Amino acid sequence: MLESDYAEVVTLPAVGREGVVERMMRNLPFDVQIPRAKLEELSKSGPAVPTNSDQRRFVRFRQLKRAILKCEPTFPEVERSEQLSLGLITNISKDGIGLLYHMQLYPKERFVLRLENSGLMRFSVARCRKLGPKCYEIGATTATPIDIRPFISQ
Amino acid sequence: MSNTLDTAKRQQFLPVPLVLLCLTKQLPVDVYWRSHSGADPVLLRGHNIEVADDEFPKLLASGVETVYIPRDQGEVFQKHLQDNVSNILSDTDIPIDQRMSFLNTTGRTMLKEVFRSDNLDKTLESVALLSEHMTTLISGNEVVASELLEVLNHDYHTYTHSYNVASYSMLLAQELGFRDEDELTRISMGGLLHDLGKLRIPNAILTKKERLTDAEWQTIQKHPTDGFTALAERDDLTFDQLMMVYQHHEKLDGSGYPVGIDGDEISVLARICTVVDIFEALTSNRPYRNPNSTREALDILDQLAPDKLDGDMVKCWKAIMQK
Repeated sequence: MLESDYAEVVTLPAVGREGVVERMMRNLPFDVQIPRAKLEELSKSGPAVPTNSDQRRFVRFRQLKRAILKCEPTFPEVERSEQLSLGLITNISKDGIGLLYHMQLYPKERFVLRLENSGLMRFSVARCRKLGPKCYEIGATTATPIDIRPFISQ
Repeated sequence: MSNTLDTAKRQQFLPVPLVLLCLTKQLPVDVYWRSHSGADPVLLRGHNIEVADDEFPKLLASGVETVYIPRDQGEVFQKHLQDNVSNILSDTDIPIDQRMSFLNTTGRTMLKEVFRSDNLDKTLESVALLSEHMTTLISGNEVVASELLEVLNHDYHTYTHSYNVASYSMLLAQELGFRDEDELTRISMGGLLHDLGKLRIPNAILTKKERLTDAEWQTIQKHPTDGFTALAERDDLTFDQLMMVYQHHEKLDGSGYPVGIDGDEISVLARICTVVDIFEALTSNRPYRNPNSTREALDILDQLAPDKLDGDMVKCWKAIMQK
């Protein structure tokens, strides 16, 4: 969702030859409201320029991909529903991802992601920053190195 | 050579604020004092000998603030204090300002000790105990804010700041209508823990007089996250207490950190903590600036409300401070 307008940011796979994951992606609501100011940045491709506050050790490649996200119970006092939802991956590196999500996630909170054509990936939140209503920019790391070749070759 | 001897002697004794002893009749430890700086400690009162009511207060009035107990009796002394705190705090024969002053000294000593120990279980245990004492004192009595302000210390140490913020949070919550004692104790605990993440920040940054570099500012801004991650996996704290730690630098207009959430996304207890945290920071001594007067601090809070701070809470806090 583009703020209050319904503008598609990511192309969904064609219906017909779709598998379970693709079907789920098509059916799950995408509740992230991407601020207009963020659009230009999202339209870029290639490696992202590192900033001082970057905690990532490896090069981040810009990437726009929807992913199915499920929070894992991490903290006794933070309640999370079992429901699946969609997030938008904005960049990926060997040890982490950048993600836009419709709600706040807490530091060290764990979640799993499922992307088209790839298995489940488990992440832990490193930082979370609100960009606007229903839009949180989340940086997350994984203990298992990500093979980024399929992402950057697309 | 004599320096080494001094150090060795000093290491055999624990300095104790004299005010802590003023309200206890009999002490299970030996008490020493030094007639002047650099002098050897001499025995003032042997353990378990009854102390006359006016003996320690007279000594305090003469300017002696610190006495010493043998280091090997430190644990006995801590236990004695903890056993007696409840009795002293609930003793209505002792004027409220003396009891507040006693709790302030005891509380700051406890916090200093546990914050240094870097042992989270021990910290939580002491913080819970201290919060119960605060509830006994503050919710059980008509505590006047100006009197509280008078007895509190206003140095820049994290343990002092945490103690003050906890006391203020409780006072403000009470005025806002929180009546349940368990809830007030939880609020006090949240206040005591709100800056836990600051314990990891080097003192050189916390006390730096010059303008902070971007990297140093980033280090400072990490403390709510560090505090949250240290505590979030525990099952003995509530969500709202965790939010006092994580959200106390968030602002209603979204200009705060670490997330930049706004409005109702910020928990009510975190908003309480934010108001009194700013007030405490403004009115305390900092190495890089002089403290603001109460009036000036309230004016600054007024300027921050209602865009950044909860307007009703600021009004309420002003009313409390002007009582």
